[in-house]
Amino acid sequence: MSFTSFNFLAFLFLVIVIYYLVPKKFQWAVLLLASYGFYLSTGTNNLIYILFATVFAYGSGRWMQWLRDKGQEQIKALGDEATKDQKRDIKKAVNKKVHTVQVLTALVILGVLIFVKCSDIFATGLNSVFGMFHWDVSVPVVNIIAPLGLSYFTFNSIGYLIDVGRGKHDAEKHIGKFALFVSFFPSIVQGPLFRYNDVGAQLGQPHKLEYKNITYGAQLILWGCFKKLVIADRVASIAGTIFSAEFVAGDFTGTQVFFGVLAYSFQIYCDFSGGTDITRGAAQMMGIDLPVNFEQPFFATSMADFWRRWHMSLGAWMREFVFFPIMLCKPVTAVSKAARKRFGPAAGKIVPSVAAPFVVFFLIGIWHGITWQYIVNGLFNATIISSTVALTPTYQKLGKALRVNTEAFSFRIFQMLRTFTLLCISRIIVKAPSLGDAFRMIKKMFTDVDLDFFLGNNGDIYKYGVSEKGMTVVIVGILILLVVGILRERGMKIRETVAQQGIILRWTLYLLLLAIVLIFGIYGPSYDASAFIYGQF
Amino acid sequence: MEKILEILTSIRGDIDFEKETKLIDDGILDSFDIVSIVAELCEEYDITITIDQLEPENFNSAAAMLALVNSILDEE
Repeated sequence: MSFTSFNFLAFLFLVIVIYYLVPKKFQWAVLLLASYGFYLSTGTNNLIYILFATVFAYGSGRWMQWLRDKGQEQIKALGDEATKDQKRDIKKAVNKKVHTVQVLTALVILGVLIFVKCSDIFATGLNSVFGMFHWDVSVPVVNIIAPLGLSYFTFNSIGYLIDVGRGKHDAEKHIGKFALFVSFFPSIVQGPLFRYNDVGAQLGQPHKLEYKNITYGAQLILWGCFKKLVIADRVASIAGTIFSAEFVAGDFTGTQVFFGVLAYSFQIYCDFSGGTDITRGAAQMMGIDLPVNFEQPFFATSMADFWRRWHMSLGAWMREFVFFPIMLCKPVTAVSKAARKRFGPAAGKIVPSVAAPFVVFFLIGIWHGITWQYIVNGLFNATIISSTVALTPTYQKLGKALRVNTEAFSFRIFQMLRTFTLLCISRIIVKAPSLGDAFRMIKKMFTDVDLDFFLGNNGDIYKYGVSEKGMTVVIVGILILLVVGILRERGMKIRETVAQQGIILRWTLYLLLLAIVLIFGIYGPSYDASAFIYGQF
Repeated sequence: MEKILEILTSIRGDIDFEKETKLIDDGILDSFDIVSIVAELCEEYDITITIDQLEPENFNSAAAMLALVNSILDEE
């Protein structure tokens, strides 16, 4: 059931009607039933995974809570005469046990994700090792189809376990409400990821029907449909053609590669952020506020800035649960301390700043898929970010020496174009049919330029499934995105601003957007709207 | 307070740490800065700041960081 299908919209409408009709104390149950119903529609076997993650994470959370409560009781039992040392020893012992439970449970839940995503790769690898030694054994290679949203509910569950382990919040007592946190249907397909003390608590609370939530939510859904149906699905054929094995096997120019990666950049942004808008809009209609996942990523002035604006919930997860723990772990701080003493404060900063991005981006690479292309892309991003941190003092000195006005608008444009170029390289690495093709395409993009192609003089630009009229729709669509992006960058809250307008202007804008989606959206019997790019992760 | 301000300015000389009260909430400090600040505070005061203490409210202002350091010193 795709988010942009009539079935989903009808399902959502029905759920929202029931949600507000039942007594408020049962609202969570309506959402849980709807979530399991939605999840069952993706395949009955998938339910096993989500049930396992739910029961396991719930049980472990309760266990950690029990250990913490027991520790508190021990401290209480000591009374006022307890010394600081005694209290600290009890806390230390409790933390140790909690840590063990936390790590073991997280490893089991993560183990399922790794097993599902990598069992075929491990089996093939093992078989090659057996072959090398001429052993007559083999492991069956089974390609397990990952259930929908596996990465998302795994990461949310692990985040919950770490937070409970750290004592950030208490473990949820109600298994039904916890099950809803793991399976909330609007966010199961492609996130955003969220924390229990933020969204989990909202899911279990009663919500009253509010005009603002319904209208703002509906607007966000419409905006998401505009991005997905009018832009992403329209340009999909361009990237699909140019990054196909047949196309790359032939004679192609660097300009065609640039055209392909340009189309793909807009496709993936509109597809993913459009999907997130639909998710957030659906949740808002139920009075639930999900975290923002995108903040105009094309306005980023560096790759680090881009990753702060793109898939922000994954970035926040990685920062909290991977980046900080690595940066603050004893070996890294010891190396950093030694470097600071030996080579000065700058070196002390560089050592961990180089180490952590490599681990984070390696993991992000693997999260997308265990292929050399994703791993190389992860390392490419980490290299850029690490070197930026390491070379910032040099850049600043160079800028001063060359008297570059880093505050100027033109410098910002230069930074944005530089970031976009690096992003194009990153996209080609993962989208090309193979890593070798990717390198060849990147090289051609910079060396084989044919301006006539973009000027439309030879009509080549319209040979990739988007006609001249279709291209006009795409360009106008992107211009609308650009204007909205600029306004947001300037701090304008679009929906609030529109809501303040008179009824005629307001409804003209709503109906215009609806008309654009209905008239210019890509539909048709052969069209598979379910294929949200990030749904596969 | 002066010592903290000195540490913060050595890491990010472009920020007015005496005035800013939303260093994290407004995205003025990034994660690399936080790690550098934590490392410097640990070194200077001979304390251990754990991941649990990496909360925005502990790093939103110089005063909040001082309060964090003092609370750790008290506990230790």
